[in-house]
Amino acid sequence: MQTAESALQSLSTRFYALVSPSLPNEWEVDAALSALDSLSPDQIDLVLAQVPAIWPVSQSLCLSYLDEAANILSCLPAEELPGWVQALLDQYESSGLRVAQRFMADVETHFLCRMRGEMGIRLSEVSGRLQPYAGALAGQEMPLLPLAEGESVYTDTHAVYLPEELNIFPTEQENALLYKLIISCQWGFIRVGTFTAAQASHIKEDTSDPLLTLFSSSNNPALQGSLYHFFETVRVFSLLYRELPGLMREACPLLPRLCNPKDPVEQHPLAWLQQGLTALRWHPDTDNAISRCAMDWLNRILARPEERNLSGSAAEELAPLVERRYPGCPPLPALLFQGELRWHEVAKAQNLRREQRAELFMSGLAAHLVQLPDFQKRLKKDDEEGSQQSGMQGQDTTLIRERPAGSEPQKQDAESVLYIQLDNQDIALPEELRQLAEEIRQDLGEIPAQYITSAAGQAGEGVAALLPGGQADEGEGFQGQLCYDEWDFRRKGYRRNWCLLSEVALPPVQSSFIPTTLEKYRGQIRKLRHQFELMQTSERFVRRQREGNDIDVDALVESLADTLAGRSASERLFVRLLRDERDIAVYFLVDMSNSTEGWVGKVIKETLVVLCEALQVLNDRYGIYGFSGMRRLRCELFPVKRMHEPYNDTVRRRIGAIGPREYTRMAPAIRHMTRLFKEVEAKIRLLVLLTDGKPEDYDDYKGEYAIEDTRHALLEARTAGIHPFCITVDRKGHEYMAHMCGENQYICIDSIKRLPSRMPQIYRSLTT
Amino acid sequence: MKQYSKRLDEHRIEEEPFYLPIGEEITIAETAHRRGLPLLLKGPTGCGKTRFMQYLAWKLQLPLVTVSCHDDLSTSDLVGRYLIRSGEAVWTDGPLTLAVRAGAICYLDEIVEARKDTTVVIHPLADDRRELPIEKRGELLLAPDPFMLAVSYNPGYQSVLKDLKTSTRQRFVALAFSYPEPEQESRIVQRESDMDTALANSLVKLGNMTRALKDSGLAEGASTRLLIQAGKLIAEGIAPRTACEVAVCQALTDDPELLEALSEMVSSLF
Repeated sequence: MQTAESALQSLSTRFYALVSPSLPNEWEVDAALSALDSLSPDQIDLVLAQVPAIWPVSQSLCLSYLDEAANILSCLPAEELPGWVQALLDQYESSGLRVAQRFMADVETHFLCRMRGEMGIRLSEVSGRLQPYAGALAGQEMPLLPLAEGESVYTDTHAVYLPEELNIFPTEQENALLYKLIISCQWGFIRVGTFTAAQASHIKEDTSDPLLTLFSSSNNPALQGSLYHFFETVRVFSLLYRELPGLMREACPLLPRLCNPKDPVEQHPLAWLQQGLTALRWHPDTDNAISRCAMDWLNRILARPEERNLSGSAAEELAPLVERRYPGCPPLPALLFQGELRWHEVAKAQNLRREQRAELFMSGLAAHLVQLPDFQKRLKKDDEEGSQQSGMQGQDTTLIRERPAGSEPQKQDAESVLYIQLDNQDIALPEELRQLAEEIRQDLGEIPAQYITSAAGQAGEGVAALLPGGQADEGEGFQGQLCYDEWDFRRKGYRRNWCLLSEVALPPVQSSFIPTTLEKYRGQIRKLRHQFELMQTSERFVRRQREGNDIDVDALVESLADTLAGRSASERLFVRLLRDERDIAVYFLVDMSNSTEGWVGKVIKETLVVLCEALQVLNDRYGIYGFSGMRRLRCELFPVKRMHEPYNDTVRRRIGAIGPREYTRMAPAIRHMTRLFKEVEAKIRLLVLLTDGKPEDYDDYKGEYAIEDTRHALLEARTAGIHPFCITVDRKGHEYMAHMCGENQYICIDSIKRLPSRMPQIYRSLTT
Repeated sequence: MKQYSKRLDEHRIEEEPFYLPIGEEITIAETAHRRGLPLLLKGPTGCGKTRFMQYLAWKLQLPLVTVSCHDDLSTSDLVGRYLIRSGEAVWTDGPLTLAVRAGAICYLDEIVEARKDTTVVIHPLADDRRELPIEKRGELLLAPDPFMLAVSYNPGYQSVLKDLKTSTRQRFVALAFSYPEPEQESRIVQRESDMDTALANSLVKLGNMTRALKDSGLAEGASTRLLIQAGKLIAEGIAPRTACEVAVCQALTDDPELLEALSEMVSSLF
């Protein structure tokens, strides 16, 4: 007893030394350490050696680890312990303490199986390729979302809910195939119309299980429900065999392994039904009334799989027969890919979609209205007349119509909503709203009038926010507000008209900044100008060519004279227009966020001056814009130099006026640049983005969301034929720039001081 | 004149090309031809614009002079130029002039690829004047009745920069082409690649699935042409999965993740 206590004492001293300087609770430590009792001194050394790795990550995890150490070592070879601890920490960091504890509790399945190559696969590992697959299958977005622990697979017709991990089969490949089968099968339920609106609408939120309610007249509703589910699965499988033969061919060998329970005693009397799914061929164990009835219905369903009400009738007829023979028969257990039919969720998802559609429609319409000049004018007038209500609340003549008032009805377009009427004025719906309006109308029968009044109200506020202080008159070239979409990576789709962007003029500033900079970089500017001069070429005629657009008369006269003189004449008689001119247009987009305050901002400004001075000798067209803003409704763009503006004193003073503003919502600025580029004709169109950090805004716009949105904005620019290139002075830029901008499409400058000399170099290498 | 007819004979289409009408496009095109109106075909790549022109030329029994536009195409490439032959300057007609003189169909494929100053040359041909001034010769060619001008472009992938000038665009009768309905597309794939119905249906399904990926990073889904190419490989005995992989998936994208997703579709369908 004495020795055990002293052993514990020495263990605890070693432990405290390992975790120093923290001082955990003594009794907790003792409790955990006493679990190491049964281990040999070598094993104890091994266990304690891992403590410094775990303790700083989580103290509770470390104590649980000590608690479990004996168990772990009983099934894990000693040399695998460090690897196992790595895996444990990964689990903790990705999914938290509870998951890590579960991981600890079952070394066999969670670690050893993987070591032996018997791997499960996680949803996150396959979603990269299965997400687009699901979308393409459904013909629209169909997110794949993880299930909560213990729930079975289901779909709410909008998304498919899948287990976070599958390790039913020994190999990764088979498990991935199972994921694919589940997705296809759940899509099948939607496709064959299992969740038709008629059924879903019967279901009220308070009923316990809609499937049971549907078959409440039966003696054994659970059994009948499960049979209904089975027959629906037959219809789905018949669809899958027809539409996706490749998948079914691969997945068939897996099915028997899913169908056969490990314990044959648990075998359901109707298990043969499920086993027949493998090839859609059934072999009843015995010939009796049940099997005859089931076979009869199966044949009928297979003959007409598109008929929706057969499954219901089949279940209704078969269930009493089964019940009579096996009283109290349990329901036929659903297979993994069948999952559960959850009509509640379907109804919920449909309601949600209805609301989302309404919101999208209203915000889209509001954004459209804001852009209409008439609407802005009228609001302004309302303001002048002193009506604070913007005149919008008084809407009473809002009608939805399919054509402008007084025109002939159009026969072909009678089904789509093309116009809405507001204040006795017809407003044509833009293309993207038409489809939405059509969906709403199909769902609700009409577009509720309040959608439109509310959109008009929103639009009123939007314009009103723009108008005060006469801001609309400020600065040259003010374009009013523009709406831009924003990419939401979670839903893999756009938030339509999400950001309001306005161009705000920078007041030119008279300061000593420009002369000082010119003086400071005089030598460099001279050198750069010389380098840039060498890049210059232009469109020119070249004479004496073998072929060309026109005859070179001089050469021809010479050649004729030569011929007459008996000399051999030249064949180079043509003039050709050589078009190797630099046809380049560049926009520089400069980050004016708060973080550029001080040194960074100053260097960026100096860089711009040096670059502009050097660019003077080239004929490249270029523009410079700064961006900043706060929240999605106030993204601001500051024109420093427009594309066609010459580089003059005003521009220099505007560069001097560049200064730190607010946040870095890059994507709307990039999208605006893409729009500006549309008006520019050039062979090479380059967008150079100069920034000092990750995109970020005051609201939730940060992290992965912001990076994905920016990445998408850059992708859009690329599709529009623009070459975007990012220059960042963020030292941690490598972590995200490659993903955000694409490999080789960015450069991280670690020393900000070198920016003024690097930038022209970068420009030179990009454009030659 | 003899020389023209010889050059033009190469452009005659003797055999009826296979074309499955989707709507009223043939009637419209014939009417436009009768009334001397120029034609603008727009639609995604590989949906049958060029095939339609071949069919129309065959139906009207006219030679079809096709020019694939590119950004170095100059006015003289279209209209013609002087060449020196044995000490003499000889005028040679460009394809456009050739077509106008002979009353053929001149089809400028992917017109937006040409520089805008080049495309202006077709303006007087594309309105009721129907004439082609040849500045270098001081000649004004009047187009005979059978002459027809047709241009095509793809509004989808080309940058908006390369949009048609309004003054060019507003001279044409415009026919919009898109991918055919699945049933018709399957018939086209079967006919063109000589394969059986079931496989053709699967190919068309694959095409439609890729077209649904347009928002997920694919610039454009698989065109009917790509499906036909895959079909031809299959008909020659290449395994369907391999054929789709090389003729469809790899042709659509380089993105590794999208390629995997496309492979998943292929392995489901075949």
